[in-house]
Amino acid sequence: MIELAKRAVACKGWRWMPGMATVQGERVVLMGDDGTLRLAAPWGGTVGVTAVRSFFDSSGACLPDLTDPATLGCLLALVRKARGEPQGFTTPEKNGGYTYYTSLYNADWFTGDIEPEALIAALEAAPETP
Amino acid sequence: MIDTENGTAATNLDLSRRAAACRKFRWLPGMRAVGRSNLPAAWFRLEESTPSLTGEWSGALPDLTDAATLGCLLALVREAVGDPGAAVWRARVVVPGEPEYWEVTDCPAVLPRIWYGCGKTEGEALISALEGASA
Repeated sequence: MIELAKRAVACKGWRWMPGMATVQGERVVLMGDDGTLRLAAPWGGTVGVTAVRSFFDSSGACLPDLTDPATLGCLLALVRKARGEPQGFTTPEKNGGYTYYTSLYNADWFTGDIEPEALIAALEAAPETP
Repeated sequence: MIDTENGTAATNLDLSRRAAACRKFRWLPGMRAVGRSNLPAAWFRLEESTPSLTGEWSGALPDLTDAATLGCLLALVREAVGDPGAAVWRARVVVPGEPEYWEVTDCPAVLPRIWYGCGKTEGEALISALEGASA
């Protein structure tokens, strides 16, 4: 899952969004105008914000938790925006694995063993300008 | 109308109320709650350390324009209908001027489908499914 998260943040269409969780269990509460994330630690804090990390963390320490429902919702929103497909969705397949569909009436799709993998495949293939 | 991080966005308060009224609804970390007592535009992002809303936030409603909240709502629907693969998808090619139509079903690409809910928006379809599972 860590490798998948690294693939996600390497995408041109990737950005952190409020509500996403990090693999460290922190929660993105706010996006700062200065390009920083305001993160709330899982044990809370006086005002719920206990850490601020650089938006562009070159150490790679700040990775998204791709098992988190809120993070997956944001990832789907990123894919839709990057690809210009507001109706895109993911679904499991009867024979295993997941597929991201541009729409049910379009032959364009991306697959993965798990739901975030299909989304990241779609994000990686997103055009520079949707 | 509510304030969001990126400006002002419209939300359907009636839909949010329907969501919050569902027996199978609960707040999940990452969701965006809108509406503090006497401050209807105030918002709060649920964190792991605050798994529920109490006091002056007890009447807050989920923001259905928020991507994280919609992701959590889909997770609640999957849990409520007992189908981890339930999907929400736009079920019609939209003609300009005609309303959208979204469905929540099991794997949409395979017929026949198991139907869980529908609506004119993604959020409404999810709430329809949650209401059905809460009945």
